[in-house]
This record gives sequence, structure tokens and C-alpha cells, in this order.
Amino acid sequence: MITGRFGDTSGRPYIEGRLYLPRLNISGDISFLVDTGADASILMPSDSKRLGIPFDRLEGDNVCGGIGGEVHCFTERAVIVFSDPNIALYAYDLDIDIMQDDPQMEDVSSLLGRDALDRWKIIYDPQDSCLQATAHSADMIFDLTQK
Amino acid sequence: MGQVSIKEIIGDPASLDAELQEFRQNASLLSSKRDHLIGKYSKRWIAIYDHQVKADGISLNQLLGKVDELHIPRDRVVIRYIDKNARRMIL
Repeated sequence: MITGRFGDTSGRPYIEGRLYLPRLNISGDISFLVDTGADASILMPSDSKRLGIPFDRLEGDNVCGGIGGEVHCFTERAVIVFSDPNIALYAYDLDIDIMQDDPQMEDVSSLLGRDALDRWKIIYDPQDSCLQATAHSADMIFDLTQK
Repeated sequence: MGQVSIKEIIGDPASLDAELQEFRQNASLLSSKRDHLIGKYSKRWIAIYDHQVKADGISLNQLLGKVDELHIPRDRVVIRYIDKNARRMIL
């Protein structure tokens, strides 16, 4: 079971995972906001700055639309790994959008979209502070029970 | 050149699992200590590492500067802007 949390003052649902950007040789842990309305996962500016993403080396010219309008995003191959502690790791190989740097968006969390979420069954119960996901599939599963 | 495999990318699974558990515990402080955090750090950025707030700042750039000064690994630190009246997000 991949366990998340309801966070901050907002009650927003978060799940933590490890992001790898192999081409850039960059990795880091991310608190992803679970967003079933997002077609794809996206790395937001605060996480990009924290991880030292070199914007001048990014590729792709993707436009992401939201309620606030359209923003330019780069696209990068990513591997995101989630943990069922001491049981298994679930790795997803996908193309993540990386939002262009924008100070106005620094307080917005990176989003875990349906490119990953569609492969899970999720229990979403904020009344009982229960956010749990069961992975139906992953691009690679690491069994942690085998020594 | 072909793509690097997932196995090559993540390295030792057991180490990654332990690190993710630690990061999750640090992030969970944002939920469990929220009243304390709002009272002490309202409208400031904070950095959580080793189960405690290690630095705070008025801007993300200032906070990251302090994180670097303290030699806290950026890839493992939890950062968040604390605001009792966080703006409503429609994502």
C-alpha cells in the first residue's frame, strides 16, 4: 500500500515519491499533490529550483492549460518511484512536464497526474485521514521482502 | 545510445525505500505540526530535514541559500510556504 497524507492548512492530498531525470542526472524527493484532473504529472517551479533544474538545458515546447490559462512547459523523461515501506517499490517511466520558471507559481506543489494515477486504485477518505493507493501496475516493481 | 534502465537509475532499492520513508516522515510534519508552523512561520518559507525545521526565509531563494549554507541536501529536504490563508487552488 502506498500511503499519502492530507496536508498543511489546505487539506490537500499529497503522496511522496522520488523523481529521477536521467538525461540531466538529477534526482530528488517530491511531495506530489494528487490531482486526478491533471492529464499528466508536472514539476512546478519551487521543486525545480530546489533540485537545481537547468532551465537552459531543457527541451520540448509543450503548452499546459489550466483554469489560469496556458503556460509553457518543457518535457523530460522521468522515473518516479513510490514506496510501500519494506514491501515494494513501484517505478513509473513517463514524460513529465516541467513548468517554466514563474515566481507567481512558487507556492504551487508539483502535481501527480493521471499518467501515474490511472495505474492505481486509490482510497480517498479525508474524514479518516486515509489516503492509500494500491498499484495495479508499474513499469518496474522491486520486491523489498526478498533479501 | 539507448535509454538507461530503471534498475540502473534507482540503484539500491532498500536504500531508496529508507530514504523515501524518511522524506515522508519529514513531510508529514507539515500536517501534524501545522498549528505550530502557522503560529511561528506564517508567510515564510520553511525547510524541514531530520524531523525538524532547519531554516526559514521570506523568499524561496533566501531559504535555498540557507539550506545550502547548512549543507542540507536539496534533494532530500522538504520545503513549503506557510500561510494560514493559503490561496485557493483550482488546478
